[in-house]
Amino acid sequence: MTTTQTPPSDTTSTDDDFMAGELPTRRQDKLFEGITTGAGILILLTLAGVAFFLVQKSLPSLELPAESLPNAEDIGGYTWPLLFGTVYSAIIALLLATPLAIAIALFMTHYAPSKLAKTLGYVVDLLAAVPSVVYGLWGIFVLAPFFVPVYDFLADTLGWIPLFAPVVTPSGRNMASAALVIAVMILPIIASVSKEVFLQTPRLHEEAAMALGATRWEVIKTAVLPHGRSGVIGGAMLGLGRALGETMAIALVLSPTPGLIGFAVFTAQNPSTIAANIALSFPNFGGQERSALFATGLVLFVATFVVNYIARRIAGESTGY
Amino acid sequence: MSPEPATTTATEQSRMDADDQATTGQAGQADRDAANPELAAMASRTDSIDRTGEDTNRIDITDLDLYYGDFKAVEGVTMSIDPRAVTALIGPSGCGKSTFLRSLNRLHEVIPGAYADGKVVLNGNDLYGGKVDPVLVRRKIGMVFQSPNPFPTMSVAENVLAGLRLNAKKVPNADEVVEKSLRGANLWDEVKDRLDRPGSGLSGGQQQRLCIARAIAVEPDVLLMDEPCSALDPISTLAIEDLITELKEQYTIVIVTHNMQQAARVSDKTGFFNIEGTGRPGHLVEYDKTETMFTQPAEEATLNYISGRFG
Repeated sequence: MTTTQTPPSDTTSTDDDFMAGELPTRRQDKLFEGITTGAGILILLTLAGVAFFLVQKSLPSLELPAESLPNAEDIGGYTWPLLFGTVYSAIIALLLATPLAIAIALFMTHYAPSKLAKTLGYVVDLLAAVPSVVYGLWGIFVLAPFFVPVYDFLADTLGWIPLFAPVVTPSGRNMASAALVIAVMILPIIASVSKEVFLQTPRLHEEAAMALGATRWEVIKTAVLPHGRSGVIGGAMLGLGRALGETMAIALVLSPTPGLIGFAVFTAQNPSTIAANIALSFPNFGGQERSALFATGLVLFVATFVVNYIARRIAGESTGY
Repeated sequence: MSPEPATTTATEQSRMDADDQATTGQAGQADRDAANPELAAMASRTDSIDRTGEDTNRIDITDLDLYYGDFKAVEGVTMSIDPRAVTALIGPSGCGKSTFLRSLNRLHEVIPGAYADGKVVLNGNDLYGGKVDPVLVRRKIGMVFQSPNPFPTMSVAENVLAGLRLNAKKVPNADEVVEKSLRGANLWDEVKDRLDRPGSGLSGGQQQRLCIARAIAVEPDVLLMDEPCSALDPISTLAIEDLITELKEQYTIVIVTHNMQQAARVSDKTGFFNIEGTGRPGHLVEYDKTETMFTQPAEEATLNYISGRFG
């Protein structure tokens, strides 16, 4: 440490020993620096290792004979419908969950009495802790049958919209139920991130709105939501990341039609998702065909990265004050 | 400090009418919201013509106690605040003067557990009457805060219009309102070329004047200022003080300040709040013409405070 050995010229101290030499705690400091740097490097190596593994394992899929892939000519044709299903289900789930999550967060921060808000906060966090296989089973046996009459109604009245096209599958195990289950699963993430940013709304801005004669909703509209905007979007992107990778719940709830790309959410014909397809197909695929699954996994890996990157960009955007 | 006899009678009269008038006031507001915007604008103009009466916009406070839950923050304030004049509130930190100021537009009660006991009568309406909606009180009594707080995501013009947009989606003559309010806040010449830029991009002093423009854009009856210059440099402070002197032609102004020179410079009357000790409620020690307060106060505590001898 050169700075400690050459005291600044304006120092009047005559005690040279005081500034010279090394602090005994310096060594601990260096050791700790080494440990944390090691941890940082380790996580980068792990990530690189996963990426390398995926690339290496999926390369053979480029030369797979067409007959070894179900319902597809080549690996691109095999991956595309799965990617569609993954993104489609995740986006529907996001559209269902985000408004509800914002409403829950606003209720917890601005409407509920503090005790109720606290309890509700615990419950929301608890929702995040439920294993996805449990959500999957609940989706099959409770949620899907429960929503079948709703699907029937929507298909009857709004069936001319391709999204709601009939015929509704009697089991309810369709894209809509899968998206609903994912929505419930990502709700806690979005709600708790939103809650945190809403709580950080500067008191001064809320009071500025109140002093102008704003009602509670108007305070939220003029001060809370503009302040929380980037945080809520960041939370939604985190939720989207989880929705993209969701495996078990979808594998259980959705009964997929291989190779299908379709927008109808109520019918028995549903596109599958990458993660669920890997889980379902892995036992049935031989060594060579498995490279196709690795390829889809690589695509999912990249897609999740892109989403996370976008989330960081949006959440990191300074709000400008 | 007992108000003059004439005022007392008026106050008592208004107390009896308070509830009725509060209801009428609310209904009137609703009508105005629903009505044709041009008619509404005309109505508010008529309002300001009506405000020429001697005692219009006088605030009469009787026996006001303010609480935060079990803690009594302010006790037994009785005072009459002159219309179209500046009233300064001074006193040591924690003496309750800010709480008292915030009680005048019912903003102190937004803290959970906070409430008031007593009467605050403005133009015949008891602000704490049973049927009074605090939101409507705040539309009539504007406030400027310690630190400038323009809405960061809004432009200069949007900030000025923020209060009006709460009432109506479209503000008729928005450009005129923006110009008039910004001129009223002595800010127009500095920002007229960047009305669509973010309000948070202005300097601190400009932001504070923007907040004043935002407060007067809704044409309130009273303007409350909570240490409006404490975050500003001396030049910006001077600009705000000049502005306060201009604004008192139209508005009843109550200002809390820690700066006794400022109180002496801008105010017509001064109220001194003090506190006996930690945990005790603050109370109004003395309230008089500013000149009297700073030259020959009646109470020794006031003299000690203004001459820098505390306790």
